[in-house]
Amino acid sequence: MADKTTNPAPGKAVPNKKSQLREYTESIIWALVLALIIRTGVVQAFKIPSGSMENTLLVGDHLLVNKFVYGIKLPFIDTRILKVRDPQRGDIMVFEYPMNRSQDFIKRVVGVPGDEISGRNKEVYVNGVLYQNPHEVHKDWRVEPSGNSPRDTFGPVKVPENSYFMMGDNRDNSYDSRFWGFVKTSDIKGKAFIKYWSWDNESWSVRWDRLGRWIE
Amino acid sequence: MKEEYEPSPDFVDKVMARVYLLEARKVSLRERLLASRPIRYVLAGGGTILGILSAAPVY
Repeated sequence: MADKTTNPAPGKAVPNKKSQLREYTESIIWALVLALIIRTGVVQAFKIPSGSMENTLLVGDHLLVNKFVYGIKLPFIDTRILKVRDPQRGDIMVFEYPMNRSQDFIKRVVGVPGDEISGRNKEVYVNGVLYQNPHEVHKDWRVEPSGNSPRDTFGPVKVPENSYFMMGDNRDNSYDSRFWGFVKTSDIKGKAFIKYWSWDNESWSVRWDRLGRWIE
Repeated sequence: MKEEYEPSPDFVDKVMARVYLLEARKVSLRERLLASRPIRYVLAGGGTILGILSAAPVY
């Protein structure tokens, strides 16, 4: 005959059963920790509010940034671990704006350490050779004299160690290294790699053709 | 006791299972959903994804 004492009475508390509140609290804490770890070391989402990277990135684009390719930046200490590679010319990087570290900027790498960069009448030269990125655009036919602004004519400048010279693809409407100098390695947040959402505020519609596109 | 009246070995288990079923029906749908582990995992997972995709502006 079966042992009648093996079945606890209905409603009787099971000793190891966690309370519902505790289970929900644990779930919330796990969700927060997981989101924090992923945002710090794997991917982070950003959105574009300005046109400095047009036409590569449009206002309303949402993108993911690879946080580990240039090394995972450990919080509170200026150290990077598990670096896959250094930034290369042509990469689109997110970094802290050196003049106001509460703001993040996104621009394309034009100069890597050791390069000599100069600009003459809207043309950029790297180590004396004309550098043209297929994604760069000019939307202002006027050429600013070098005395007025470094927008169209600047340098030459030599990129120091652990620093990068960054420029927006929308060359005539980008506030970048031409104006405020170099970006230090410690200020780099990651490499932009995919657009996951794009909202056109003017036509109040989704730009479906841009979703899931790699950023090059 | 006559053998024909002897309860089967799993008699108590069967009865208790029906008792638990009856008791479970008394719990409201809301409480059952809140206590459901899959729903808790879906909520936590959804919260994690929303946390990851909450986008910061980059200029």
